[in-house]
Amino acid sequence: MHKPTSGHASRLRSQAIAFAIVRGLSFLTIGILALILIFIVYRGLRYENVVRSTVLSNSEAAPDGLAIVVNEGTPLDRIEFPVLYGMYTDEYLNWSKITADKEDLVPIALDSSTADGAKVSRFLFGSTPQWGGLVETAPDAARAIERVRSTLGAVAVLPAEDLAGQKGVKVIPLRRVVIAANSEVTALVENRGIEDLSDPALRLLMAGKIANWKELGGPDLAVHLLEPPAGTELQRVLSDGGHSVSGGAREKDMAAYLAALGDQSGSVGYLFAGDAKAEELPTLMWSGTESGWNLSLSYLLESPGLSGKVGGISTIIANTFLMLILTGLMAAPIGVAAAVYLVEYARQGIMIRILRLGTETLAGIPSIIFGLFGFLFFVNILHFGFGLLSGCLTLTLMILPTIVRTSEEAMKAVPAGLREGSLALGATKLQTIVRVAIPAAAPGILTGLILGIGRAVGETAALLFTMGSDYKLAKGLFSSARVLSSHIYLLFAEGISFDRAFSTATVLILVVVAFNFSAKRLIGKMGGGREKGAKTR
Amino acid sequence: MKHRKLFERTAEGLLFACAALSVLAVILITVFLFQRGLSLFQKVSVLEFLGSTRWEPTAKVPGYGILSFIVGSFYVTGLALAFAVPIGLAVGIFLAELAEKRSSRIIHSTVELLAGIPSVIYGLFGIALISTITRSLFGGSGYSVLSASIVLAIMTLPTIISVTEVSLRAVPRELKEGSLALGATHWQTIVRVLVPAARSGIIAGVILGMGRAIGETMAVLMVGGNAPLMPKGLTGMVRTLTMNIITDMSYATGDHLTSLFATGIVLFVFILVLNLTVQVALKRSMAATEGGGGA
Repeated sequence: MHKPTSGHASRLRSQAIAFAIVRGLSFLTIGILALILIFIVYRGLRYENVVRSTVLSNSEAAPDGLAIVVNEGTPLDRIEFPVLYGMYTDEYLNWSKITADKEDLVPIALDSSTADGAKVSRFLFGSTPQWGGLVETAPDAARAIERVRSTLGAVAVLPAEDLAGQKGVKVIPLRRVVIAANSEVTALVENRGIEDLSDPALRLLMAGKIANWKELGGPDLAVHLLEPPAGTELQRVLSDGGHSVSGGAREKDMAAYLAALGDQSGSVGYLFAGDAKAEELPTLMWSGTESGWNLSLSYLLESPGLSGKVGGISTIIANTFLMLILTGLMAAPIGVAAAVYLVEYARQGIMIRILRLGTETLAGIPSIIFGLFGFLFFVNILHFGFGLLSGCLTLTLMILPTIVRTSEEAMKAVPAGLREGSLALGATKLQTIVRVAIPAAAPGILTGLILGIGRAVGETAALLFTMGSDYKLAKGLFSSARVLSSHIYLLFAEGISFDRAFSTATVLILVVVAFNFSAKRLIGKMGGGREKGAKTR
Repeated sequence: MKHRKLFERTAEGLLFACAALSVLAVILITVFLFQRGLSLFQKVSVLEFLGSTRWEPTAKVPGYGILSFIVGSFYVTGLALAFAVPIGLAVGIFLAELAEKRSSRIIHSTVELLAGIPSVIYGLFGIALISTITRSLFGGSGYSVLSASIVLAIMTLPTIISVTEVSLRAVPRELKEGSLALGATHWQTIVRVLVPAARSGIIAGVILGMGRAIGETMAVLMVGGNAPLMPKGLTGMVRTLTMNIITDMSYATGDHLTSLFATGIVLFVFILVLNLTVQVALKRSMAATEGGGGA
């Protein structure tokens, strides 16, 4: 204290600097929180992925008046023509490479001798049918639909008008527009190492702004751009999908267009994948970023499939709330009763010190240890198995200290006058507690419950090996259940989808913030005296 | 009347049972964890378990050495505290001494929300942002000691801030007034009088944060890289005790499973020691500021 200083002014100056640093670091915490919240919510709401494919991203519900139908339970929301082609040529035996499902693939085709059947055959193969051995033949559309409805794993191509109002099956849109080029282009392009045509490059090419393939890193060959013939299905699909072609040569019909692609050196143009295949024209890969809304209403309302790869999270949200309700129902009475004992009954001394030490120690035990204990005791020794009950019992133990401590503070803050009044009126101690003390402390108790539940909702480590990870709706106390937090982890750990992990995280954050906010509102209602106790949870 | 008395007695007994549940839970956790984990040492010596770095539980000649994970746990935790303690202290000081009402309210809400964010979300944030940043700045895979400790630092901040603030507020007013009256500036008073007086409370907060960090599982699991090796430098991958347990739990059987419970015992003992230290430190800080700090 008696250190010589170079004067009051310099001390004040260093104080000002120190205060500025302290203030800066304090506001840094706000920055960190904001960064975390904004980052998670942004990534949860929007996705942006690099996609690389032979087909463009616009899809058609009824290509050539046909529709691709699958069973309602098939987790597929679109299909690319090469995949559909592969389904009918025995390239796929089951769904594992398409949707990761184990079901056998059952491709169904209409009898080729009927008009509709011939149309489907033309649609898939052009003039030379190459039906695979797996393909089942149905005599008419009604029976094909019936087969698809009853068979998970079946797929059929049928006239679109036969599908109106059908239940139990769904129509999936097809992506079939490719970029076809003269064989000279691709042969050389591959030599020159072009892997794919990026979206901006494609736009320039199709706007007639690129004169030579050299500009795209390809061979020294003039670009001969072809515009789709007017009035054709191809032209209609392209203009619907916003893929206009300008500045190119226009052939009079489809046959001439195909011939030009095949013969004219350096030629390029859009084409349906089926035609490209039939004419054996090479195609260029297309790559671009797809962005869109990640967290949609349907994501919240649909039930998940394929470990969360498709569908939404409705059952997981439901499981989460089931878990919270069950945990709350178990933890609240026990926690409040413990607090009542500590405040109203326990005498100062060794007993209360042991009880306090127990609560403090329990509060400090990490969740993974709770997980190990829950796995040993509830899952194995008590034979509850992986399920809702084991998980909730583990969570109850975890959040008990929070509830006990907060309720204790709240009970302590009830004015002695209230109790004395009640006792003086002839009420017993228990009556006083139940009718006077607990109601008076209710906001504080509720705050503790909300804080505890808020902790439970984000818990993962303790749940992975007690509650299981079934993403279907829990059917009972012993049914394995996946909740939001474990879903986030499993989506990440099983490499299923980062985007989906973020959308789920956004939902979880909203739940946590809602709990936090309501706890704060309650604390605000209680007023200053009790605020402190509730905060140091 | 007699009936009523019996009822009151029963009620009291029930209430006591509920209050004793925490103690019972601690005892049960201890007993079951030890009973299940200790049997490992019939096959592996304690020295080998704690002192070897060979973790090959599924090899033909299995190795159960968790030294690298113990080192990993302390490495990550120590580094996290090195980041979190200065910031936590500063924010605690700001809240206790400098903040005006409005910024105090905002920062309090911030700290509460930071404490409430689930660890799996910290993990997601860690892989998507922090790993990317450390990868581009320092090279390596980004799944590293450094990334893990940055995430842990953010997670332990709330604990350190809250306890620092409470301890500083508990320092008797007379100490502060005396220092100011002697001509010390506010800052000098904070650094030379208030912080030293609140020392044991602050230390308790840091230890509490350390316990949180050592026991943290999901966030470090997602950003730490999880290679079962001795961590090599800041950008090397790391596996902590908690990660070791959760990684192998899904498929371990027999001795391997037992070794995970034994890992749990080691973690549990560390946590208990830290917790007891906190209790002692807090008691001391309470005794030191007795009478003055009517919080």
